[in-house]
Amino acid sequence: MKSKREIKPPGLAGSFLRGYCRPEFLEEIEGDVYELFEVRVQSLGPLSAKLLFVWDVLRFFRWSNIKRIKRFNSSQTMVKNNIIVALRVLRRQRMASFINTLSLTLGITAVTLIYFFINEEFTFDDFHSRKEQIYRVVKDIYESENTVSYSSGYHPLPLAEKLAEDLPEIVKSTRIGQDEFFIRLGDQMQEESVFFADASMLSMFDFPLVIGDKTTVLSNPGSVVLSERTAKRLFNSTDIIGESFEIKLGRDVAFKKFQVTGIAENVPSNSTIQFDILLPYNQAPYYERYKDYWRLNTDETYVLINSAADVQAFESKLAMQWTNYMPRKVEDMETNGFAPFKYRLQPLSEVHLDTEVGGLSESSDPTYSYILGVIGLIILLIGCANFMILSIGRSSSRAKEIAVRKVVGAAKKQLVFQFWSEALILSLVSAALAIGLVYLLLPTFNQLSDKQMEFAALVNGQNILALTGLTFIAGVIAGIYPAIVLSGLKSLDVFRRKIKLGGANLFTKSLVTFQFALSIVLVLGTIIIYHQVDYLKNKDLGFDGKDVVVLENRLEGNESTQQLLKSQLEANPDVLRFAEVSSSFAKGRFQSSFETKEGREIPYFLYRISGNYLPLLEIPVLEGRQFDGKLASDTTEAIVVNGAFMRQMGPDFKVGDPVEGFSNAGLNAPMVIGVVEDYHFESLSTELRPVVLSIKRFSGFQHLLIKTMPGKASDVVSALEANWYELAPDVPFSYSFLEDDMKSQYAKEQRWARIIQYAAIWAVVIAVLGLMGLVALSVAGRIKEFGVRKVLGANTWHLFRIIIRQYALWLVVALVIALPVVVYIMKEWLNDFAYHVNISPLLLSGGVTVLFGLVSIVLAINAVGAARRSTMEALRLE
Amino acid sequence: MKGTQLGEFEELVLLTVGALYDEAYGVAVMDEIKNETKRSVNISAIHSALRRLEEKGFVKSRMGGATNERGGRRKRYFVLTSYGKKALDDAQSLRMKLYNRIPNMSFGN
Repeated sequence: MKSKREIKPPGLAGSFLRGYCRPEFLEEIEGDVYELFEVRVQSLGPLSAKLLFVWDVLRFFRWSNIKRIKRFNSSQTMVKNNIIVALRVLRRQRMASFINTLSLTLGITAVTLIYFFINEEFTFDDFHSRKEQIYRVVKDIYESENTVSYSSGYHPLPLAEKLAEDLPEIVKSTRIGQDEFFIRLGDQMQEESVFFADASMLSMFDFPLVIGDKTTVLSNPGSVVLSERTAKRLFNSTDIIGESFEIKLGRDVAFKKFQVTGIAENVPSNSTIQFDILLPYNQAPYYERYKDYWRLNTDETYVLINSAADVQAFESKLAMQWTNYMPRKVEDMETNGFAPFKYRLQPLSEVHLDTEVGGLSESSDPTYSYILGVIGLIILLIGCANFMILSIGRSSSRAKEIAVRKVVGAAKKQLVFQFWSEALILSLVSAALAIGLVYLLLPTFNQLSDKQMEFAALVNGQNILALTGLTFIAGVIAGIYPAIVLSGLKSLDVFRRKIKLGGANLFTKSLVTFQFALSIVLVLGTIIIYHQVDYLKNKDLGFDGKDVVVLENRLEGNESTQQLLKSQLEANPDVLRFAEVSSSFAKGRFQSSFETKEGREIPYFLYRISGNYLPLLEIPVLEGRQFDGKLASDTTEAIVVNGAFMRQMGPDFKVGDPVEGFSNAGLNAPMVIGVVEDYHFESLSTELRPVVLSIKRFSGFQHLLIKTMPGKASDVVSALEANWYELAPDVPFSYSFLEDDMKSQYAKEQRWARIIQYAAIWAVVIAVLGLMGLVALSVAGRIKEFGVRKVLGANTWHLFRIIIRQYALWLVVALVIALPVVVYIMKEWLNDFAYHVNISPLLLSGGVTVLFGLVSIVLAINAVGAARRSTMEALRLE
Repeated sequence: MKGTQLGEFEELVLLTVGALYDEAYGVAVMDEIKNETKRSVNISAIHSALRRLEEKGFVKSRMGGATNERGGRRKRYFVLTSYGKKALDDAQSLRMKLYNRIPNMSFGN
């Protein structure tokens, strides 16, 4: 019997029952399950009895038996009271609440926008269901056995098919090409970006079709797939299957008719492949000529690997696969002793952020994402710091509240909770405002960052979760100091006024210093970036691009029309002179290299020009002479080079010497007849490289440069356009201005300059707001002191000095911290440019002066406020 | 009929309470149902049913005295109220009325 007595029901289940059960039912329920347990121990044995006991307890866990939360519950009342107090505080201290909300709103807005940007950058091509299996074939070109000189995503046309045939791991492969062509619909003619892809592309990638069958839309040579937006733009409808329009695929071919066979969903903005007009690959203008040709690298090749394949083993097999296709390169390899290039696979997810591999779509440098991310965090931290500063500033008025709460029996935990909930409420309100602000600012931000994000598409689970997390984190950071310090105050000290809180203590001052250091970094960084961009755009490039029109020479192959156009140009009094060139600056170039007799390899850019080119651009000749069209030898065996070319050739090489080993564009060991000044024919981010100019007729010219009388450029263009369409109504007319072309090279730098400028303004606004609040609070705490000072004869200026004395030292400290940081970072950035400005102390001090001026204004406003205040009232204040 | 609605299980419990007279508490009701109907019922279901019946006024309850059993916890005893008895009578007479109308010929098949 004794042993039976000791068998007790499981304690945990018992406590659980007592925990949840309504007290008025507890006794009977407990009694019944206990009784059942005792009976079962006898009949079924202890284990079953225990298990059934647990089961019974669990079965009793139903709504009617569960304890009701009491109406009056101290912790619940506390929470309610906390919220009421928080709202009261927000309402009573309007200025502080305004500043806090505004700074947190601005901070959260900035971080949200930047998060969207970064998120899109890093989730590029994430939407393809087989993204793990899709790779871009990349070619690493070696300059010696172990050094890669550059990587390229461009391959010969037959490669995609050959690889798929020869390597069983490849399930599918596709070529992707893109170029700008004119399309014609009715009497409308416009230039559009056209994509070419194999039929397999649509089933490899996830580009769903709204209308049409993936497998067949591209199988007919005359078919075209349009994106929904393009269909709407061109036809005002998506119900256009069977409709047709014309595309002029190439300069010297006629318009060809294409029939719409499919409508694709708009390609998401985070896709590397961005097609709007998609043609079968065999429609590419070079297809017929080069489809079996291995020496033209023009389009990208993507492969879909079998999911079961060993990618590493496959890649090593792929590396030298080209030896089966390019016997000439194999010979090269045998003479050189190393492989001229190797293939490798690049996962689809890495394509967008790789700036090393040359490819079709513009890749982006992840560094900028990191920089932006840091800036976003800085802005958010400055916003949170404002909250901290102001909470601390107001703490003296709240110390009594805290002390009373403590006396009444609030635990420290509850006070911590109170302050944190205040911060959280505020950050929630800010987040709501921030969402509105994000909605308003998104179009501007898209423009700034060159993205096409849509607000509706951004509202998704992940982003909502991220924003909630962000709001929470912002609230926690903002509330951390008041929550911990204020809750730790000793009530007795507060009542005895032992503690002097408020105004500015060391912590607040360090926060202000930190805010201003960050603001200074951003402001000075912006100034330096602008200085550099300005320099890039306005540097004397060594030629005169003013009033120069660059005309696309699409009349090539039609000699007589060209001659007519030229004679019309000659007749136009506004045209000073014109010249032809193989390709104008920033619009393509021809790079090659030759080997000198000493075996040195000299790379160069070749420009074929007409005789007027150098005078038109006013490129000065340093040595020797210009081309003379009348001298037969000039048109056959003469070149003009730039200074960089001469430096490469070495000091022994003189004007008049033939360039041994040089063979290109019909020139063989041509003689250098003149040296021109080093003019900047490419972006200033790269060092000047050797240039060779020739007037030998070899093949056509891509551009016609027209120098007009000053200010007459647009008149000339309109006259020219009229002439053009008279002469060649079928051929599209397009032109640009040389100055714009040069500046467009710095579009990226300019964009970043503007983004950082906005970020800096954002940060400064928040920091100044915070300072404003802090100063106002500390002045409010010293009203009586100022009153006494005024009675003793102090004027506004004195008060201003007293106020500024408090902050001057810290601003100087901020400056001392910020300067080396900004100088270091900006030097790194500037070093990316071959030609860059030096960091100008004058500009920096200008920036600092403006910033400090702003601070002084804030302080002065407060000083004036304090001075204007009635002295009597100030003195009466207790 | 409002208020005298009885579920099948409720009716069973109510009958059992009536049958046990002064000895009807949770476990006893459960055992009785088990014995009479061979139905396995969980004790929590009995409690819920008893509580519902009490709310409807069909039974009333009192706490018993403490004993050494059940770890010293008291029992809640339920007794049938006259209203409860009437509900049972109504149910019974309704049933009989309908039962008597079944003609012998209707046993099809």
